[in-house]
Amino acid sequence: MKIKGIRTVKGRQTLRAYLFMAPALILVFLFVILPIIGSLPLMFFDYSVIGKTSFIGLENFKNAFADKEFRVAMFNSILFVVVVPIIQILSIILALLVNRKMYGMTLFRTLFYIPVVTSMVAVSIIWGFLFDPSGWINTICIKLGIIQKPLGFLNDAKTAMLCIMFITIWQGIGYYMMLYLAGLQSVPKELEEASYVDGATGLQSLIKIKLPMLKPYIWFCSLNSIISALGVFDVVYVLTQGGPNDATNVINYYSYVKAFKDFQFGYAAAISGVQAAMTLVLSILVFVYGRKGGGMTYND
Amino acid sequence: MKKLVSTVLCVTMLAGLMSGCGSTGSKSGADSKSADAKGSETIEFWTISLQPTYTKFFNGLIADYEKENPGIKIKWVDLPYDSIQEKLVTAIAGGTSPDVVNLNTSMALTLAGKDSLTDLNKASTSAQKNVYIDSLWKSTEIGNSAYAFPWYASPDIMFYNKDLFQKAGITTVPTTYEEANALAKQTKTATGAYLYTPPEYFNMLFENGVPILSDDKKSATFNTDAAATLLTSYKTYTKADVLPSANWGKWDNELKLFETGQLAIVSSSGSSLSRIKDEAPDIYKNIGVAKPLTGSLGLSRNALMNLVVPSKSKHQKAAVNFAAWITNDANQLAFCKQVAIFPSTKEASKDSYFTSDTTTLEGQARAMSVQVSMTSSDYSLGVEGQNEIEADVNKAYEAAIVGDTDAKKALDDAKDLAQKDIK
Repeated sequence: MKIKGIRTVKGRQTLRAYLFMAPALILVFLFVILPIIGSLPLMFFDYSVIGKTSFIGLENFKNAFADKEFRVAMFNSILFVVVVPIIQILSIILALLVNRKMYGMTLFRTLFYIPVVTSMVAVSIIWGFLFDPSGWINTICIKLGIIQKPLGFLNDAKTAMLCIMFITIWQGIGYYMMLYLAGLQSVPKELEEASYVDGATGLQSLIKIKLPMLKPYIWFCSLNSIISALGVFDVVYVLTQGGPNDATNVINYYSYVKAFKDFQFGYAAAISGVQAAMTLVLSILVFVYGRKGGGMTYND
Repeated sequence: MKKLVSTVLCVTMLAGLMSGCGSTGSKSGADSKSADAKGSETIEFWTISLQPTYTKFFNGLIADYEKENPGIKIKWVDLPYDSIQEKLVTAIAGGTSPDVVNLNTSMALTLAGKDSLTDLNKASTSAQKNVYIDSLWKSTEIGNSAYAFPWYASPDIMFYNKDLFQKAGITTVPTTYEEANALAKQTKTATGAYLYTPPEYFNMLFENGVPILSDDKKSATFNTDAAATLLTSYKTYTKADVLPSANWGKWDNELKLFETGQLAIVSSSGSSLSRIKDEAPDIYKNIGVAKPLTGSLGLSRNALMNLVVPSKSKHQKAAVNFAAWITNDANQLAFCKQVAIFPSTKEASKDSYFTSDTTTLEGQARAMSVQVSMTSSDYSLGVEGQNEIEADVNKAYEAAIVGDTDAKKALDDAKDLAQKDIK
């Protein structure tokens, strides 16, 4: 690939950037792009790796939509997208709170970000202990008289999904907080000051100036969050394995079970294909809606 | 200074990346499979979670075999239970199949159904086959083919907490689920602990004589009135909170509850004693050993580990011979003297070792295992989709007990799922 102006300073900087990215790009290509491309034809085959392989056309997709467990997993995955607005709203609130010059604010920013850089498996295991009937949450609730006997949060079909959502929100909030913080810090100070001079309150300044200026960030973060929500896996794998009674069975986990427990790799590829299509549709909706965002909306 | 710090960080990151490129199994024995020297064969032998506790023992066995069979080298790889099936499939697909693999019956049947295992009815000699207890040899039979050498068995026995029994006023140890259910309420009331956790619903049906499949193994037949009555009765107990509604048959969870004094009875193999002794010495001191709870058939579970030879093994004959040797009478007996498990061979299982010590808890567990093994079985359906069918049957429990669906509806739904998984 010829890099324009390689002899110039900018050209050399660009080349250096590509060289630094090269190892990661190679890994992404080998372990993400290639398998995705490889799984496309699998969707149309009855393929179990070790058994006989045969072409079956759209049979996997027909079976998927006739499969009650798949429909439940699809519904749960769509339901899981509920975490997106919650994470975004909480992240914006946190970003507003930490966007101040106060003693100890760096510590708070760090504490909020630590869950983001902690392995989701480790996070899930710890929260599993906390949610356990003999865990801290039950112990504290019983001591405070909120409940009389321990609750099995992860064993109850009504609360298991809520716990999974909570853990996801808890872990993700710091990441989006940092993005929104960057957004808030890019809002020109003069705009804010001008609004105060004009008699705007803090809330009006937030609604009329800061949030509109954050629209591109909200758009990007929502898109990112939707893709992550539809692809939730780790926390389900570690804590509930899709149970109890399929209450936390999501598409990604169901696809994993079909591939690696039942050896139905073709069917699993088809399920993943449906998930990719769902993600694409939702992403397009957010993309189209979000394109109109950004720019100044405060009028003199 | 900044350059130095960046360089150190980059190198550390690269080192971290490269360390992830190694394999995850623990290895022992001969380290090179690919360089089979002329006239020598390297057999790759996979086991489930036997290292590091039994490393010395198996290294000794391997050394003995290599001495008796010059030209054969054994490369021993130990893997966790959760990953062995996936790794095996990956290895077979990648053309690097191991030669002898330790699997449980369910996993063996799944792979057998995909023609991935060697038919040992054809590949092994009569002398090799006839040492095993007949019912255990048949565990991995599909049609006229058998796909595994039975290895060590772990018959379930009962460990009960004498303290909790005393507090609950239980003077006679229950022997059936029916007797236990009658004592469940007084145990919960008097001690706050559950008496026992019901087994997996699949096992419960087996133990009460409810046929999971038809005789020709082409239809799921477990959605009977008897199955619905059984499920409904347990629903009553769980709703009254005298028996737990969650984690039926989840051994890890049961053991945790038992070790924390929240469960009075745990069904497990004798090998659990060492874990309880380590993790809960106070509970260990109060353990009593008894026959496991049984259903109407008087049957209890005998989980079997097997050794299989993948059909893609490049050293079939040598692999079959090694697998047969590891699982012969003498070696199984020697292994059973290392840990409280039970052999699957006829002669070893009659050895007086299993009944010689009745003073220690471990000795009592061994003696009890001998007794119960006569009326125990590895709950095998003898079909390829055993894993999936078992999961489908257990969905009836989840729907009815956890999800509060009507028992008959839960069973009918589960039956429809299982019907699709019958191959």
